[in-house]
Order: sequence, then C-alpha cells, then structure tokens
Amino acid sequence: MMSKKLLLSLLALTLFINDASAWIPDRRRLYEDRDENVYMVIPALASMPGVGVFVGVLGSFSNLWGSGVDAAVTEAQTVGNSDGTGSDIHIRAYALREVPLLIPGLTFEYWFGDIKFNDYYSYLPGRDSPNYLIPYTGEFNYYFLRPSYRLWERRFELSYNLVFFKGYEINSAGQEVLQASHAASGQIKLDFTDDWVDPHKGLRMTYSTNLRAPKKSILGTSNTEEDPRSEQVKTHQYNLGLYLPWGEQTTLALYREWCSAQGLEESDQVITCGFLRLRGYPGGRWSDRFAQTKIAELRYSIPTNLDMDWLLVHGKLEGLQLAGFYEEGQVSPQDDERLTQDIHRSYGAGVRALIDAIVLRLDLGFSEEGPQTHLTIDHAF
Amino acid sequence: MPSKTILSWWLAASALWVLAGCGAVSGPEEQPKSALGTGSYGTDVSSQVTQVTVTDSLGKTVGHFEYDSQQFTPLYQASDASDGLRVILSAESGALQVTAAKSLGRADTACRYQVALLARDQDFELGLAGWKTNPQGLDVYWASANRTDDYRAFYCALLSDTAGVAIQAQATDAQRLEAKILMALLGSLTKG
Repeated sequence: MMSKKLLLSLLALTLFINDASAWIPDRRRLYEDRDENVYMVIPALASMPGVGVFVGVLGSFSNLWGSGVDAAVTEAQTVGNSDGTGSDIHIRAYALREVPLLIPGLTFEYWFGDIKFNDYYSYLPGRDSPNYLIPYTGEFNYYFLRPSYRLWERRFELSYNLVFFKGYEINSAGQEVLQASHAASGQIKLDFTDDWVDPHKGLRMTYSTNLRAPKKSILGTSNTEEDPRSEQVKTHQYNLGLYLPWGEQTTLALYREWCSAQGLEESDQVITCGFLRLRGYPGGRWSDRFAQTKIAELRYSIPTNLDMDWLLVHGKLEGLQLAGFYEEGQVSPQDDERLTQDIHRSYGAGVRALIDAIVLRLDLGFSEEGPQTHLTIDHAF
Repeated sequence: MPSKTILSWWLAASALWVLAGCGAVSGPEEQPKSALGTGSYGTDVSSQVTQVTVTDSLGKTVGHFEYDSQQFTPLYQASDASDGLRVILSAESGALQVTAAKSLGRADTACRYQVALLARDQDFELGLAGWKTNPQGLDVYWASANRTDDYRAFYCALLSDTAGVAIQAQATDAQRLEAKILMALLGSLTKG
C-alpha cells in the first residue's frame, strides 16, 4: 500500500528531523493542568415496547481531587413493569483512566462492562456482506486494561491493550457459543497537535498491531484452546489525523486509516483486520482482510466560557462545537483495486460540548442503509 | 445559555443514546410466528418411517425426527453419535434434498447465518424468515434464500440448553419446499 509507506515515511521523518520544534505546534494547554473535579451526569429515561421502562445514567469525571485520575460510569437498567414482567436488560460500564503508576508518564486505564440485552446483532464479515442482521444473545462481560507510557507533553505514547471478553459470540461455523477469551495489542502514537483533547492544528499518527494474548491474566481465564487465528494472523493498523486551522474557530480535520491482516491466506474463512469507522453505518458493518477509510470533518467552535456548577454538571463549558462530516471507505480480501471500488459513503452532522478536558459528542450519521446516532465522549479522531 | 436549555438538550440526547440501535432489523422483513403446517405439494406421507436421533457434543440424546423412508432415499447416514452430519436425504428424483446436522446455540443465529453466507458467497437472494411452531410444540426458526433453480430453506431448532439441529432443504423450485414429506419430517422434530 502506497499510503502505508507514506505514513511510515512521515513517522521516520518525525523521529529523525533535527529541528522538530519548528513545525510541531506548542500545546494550547497541558492535559495535566486540567481543572479538578469536572464532571457531568446525563440521565436517560425511555419506554421501549416489549421491554419496559429503561432508566439510565452516563457520567464522566475528570481529574478527581487533583489526582489526575479520570472516571466514567454508564449505568442503565430496565425497571419492572407493573405486572412484574419487565425484562432484565442492563448496561453497566465503569472506567478508570489516567491512574498514575510509579514512573512519571506511566499510567493505566481499566474498564469493566457488564452488558445484558435480549438480542445483540452482528453482520457477516467480508466485502460482500449482505445487509442482514444475525441475532445472538447480548450477554457479556468486558474487561480492558491499558498501561500507557507518555512523554514530551503527551506527544509520544506507547500502550499495551489487553482485553478479556466473557460472553456469547458467533463462532466461525455461524453458531452461538459461550466464550471467554483474551486479545492483546500494542500501539504507538505520535501527537503533534496543539491540544490532546480538541486539536485545532497539527497532526497525529498511530500504529497498532495485535500481540500474542495470554490464556490467563488478572482479568480472567480463557475457556477455549488458543484461537489459532490469533497466533497465525498479524494485523497492522495505521491512522493519520491532520488538523488544519481556518481562523480561530474553525478546524478542518482530515483522517485516513488503513489496516491489513496477514496469515491464514489458505483459510476459507474471512480474516479481518478491523472494521470501517463510518458513522452512517452500524458498528461492525464492514470488515475484511484489508480496509481503508477517509474522513473529512469541519468543526466550528462557539466559545461560551460558561462556569457551570449545577447538580448534574460541574466545570467550565468552554464552547459548543458544530461539525459536519463526510466519510468513505471500503474493505477487500486483497490489497487491490477493490479497495477503491464501490466505495461506502457516510455523512452527517454533530454537536459537541467542550467541558474542560471532556468532549461530549452527539453525531447523527447517514448512509444508504439509514441513520445512526452516536452519543459518546471524545472526538471520533 | 440558560441551564434549563442545556438540561433539556441533554435529556433529549440521552434518550437518543438509549434508543440508538434498538429495534432495527435489516434484510427481508421477518414473518410473524405461525404454525408449521402440513405442506401443500406432492404425495401424502406413507406410514413407513425411519427415526434419526440428534445428540449433543457429549453424545447425550437431545431429540429426534422421522422421515418417510418410502419417498426419501438416504444418501448419507451418520454411523455414530459423534458425527455432526446426521443424514442426507433425497426425494423427487433428486429435486428435493434434505440435510440434517447438529447445531449449537440459538436457532435464529444458526439459520440466519447460513442464508447470509449464501447471499455473500453465492449471490443468493435473501428470502423470508421467522419462527414456526411444529405440532410437537417445538419452536423452529426458518430462513430462506434462492437463485435460479436453487431454492433453499433452513430450519433450526434448539433441543437442549445449547444443542440443536439445523435442517437444510434444497429444491429446484419453490413449490417443493412446501412438500408434505418435508413438513412431516419437520413436524416430527421433538426434544428428548
């Protein structure tokens, strides 16, 4: 892939250039200097036919008591119907981030999720995957541990990601099975932007690859023999984000992503390197051995500098941001012209609340397969 | 911005977050649950039947079904309980073929996966799908797909907590998928 070589060249250039500071933007602010105890709690209440009343809360907390630790909580649950027949559907997710370890710059992140739905849906992997949902039992626990080492005002980051999944999955024969398995990956990130949270100018590059996963860790124990694919398939993922300022308030953010999976070429199964990140499609809609995505997003910030000290939110609303985006991408079983043919397109708009180091993002994406809503923390890239 | 406005926006956004992804089913519309029926095509079922046993991965019997051995010719029969493929049957001079294999997990997962594979890899057009209840009271999920002269229907049933059976019917025309001998086979499917 030419694009991959270009990214590698950029990485090398960055590492060996003599006077990097000449073109690397100064930080607008340091993440470590963020305000203490900034938080927001978002309540949710919805009535869903056949399910009952769904009550939930999404909370994000930043720099707790000046420790540098961030936390996030999602707690949502159906409450029983008056006849006692309410279904037990819940989403419980907790995250601790930026927990400092002994060495300066070394932190870890820990997530735990306990999810139970009646049904969860998946799509077949592969370039020609039909728009046809395959249901399975949406019941799983998810554990994530990520030690990270950051240097130079977070411009350099090295991370190890360990995931332990315990729950229902669809196996390669198309059957629902109860699995407990690990996955591991490593990541290097170079962030030459003016802000780690909401960049206005600069560029950001990431390379990640899968690593050999343990069968047993502090997160849990796998219940299956080692998946031969994790041993024999090597995935590589490259991301490049470019942030171009246009006046004080507008940023044109461009994003490029490539991924590939090598190994088991003789297999009749579809081996995937990851999923396309197109917000107009459901998560996991497109995957194959090779994938490429391009995104252009225009962000317009409206400064507010509003101090909020209310029951559900505490912090400074620095601004509201309006965004419009266009995305395209494709997957292919080979690194060939099919990666640029019959491109999948997605477009949409969003609004973001910039609350100190928290970006609360609501995006509405559209594609030929309908609309998708995303309410989450952090920029898409 | 007044606090009331922000709070209202958050509440609206939260509702969207909860509702996002709920209730969406793509592909051909799923049919309402109905009775299996007795079929509308071909010869009535004879009294000469052969029983096929379905076992789980440990070899324990979880269910069985019967087929009309006067009209169906077995092309393959499993010789022991551990064999995942239980039987391949042919009728109507090969115009109708039935394959029964052991299955794991939810019936709708297994059946929808199989027709999705046909659509992805062999250009089949996805057809109707849904739940049916057979005369034994067993819920059977079915999903269909077709292309020129090749009509397929998959019937999947869970016979224990995790083990079940997946039955594929393949015919040269849509009518034969409504054959009485096929519906009798599916109607005989029972747990235990």
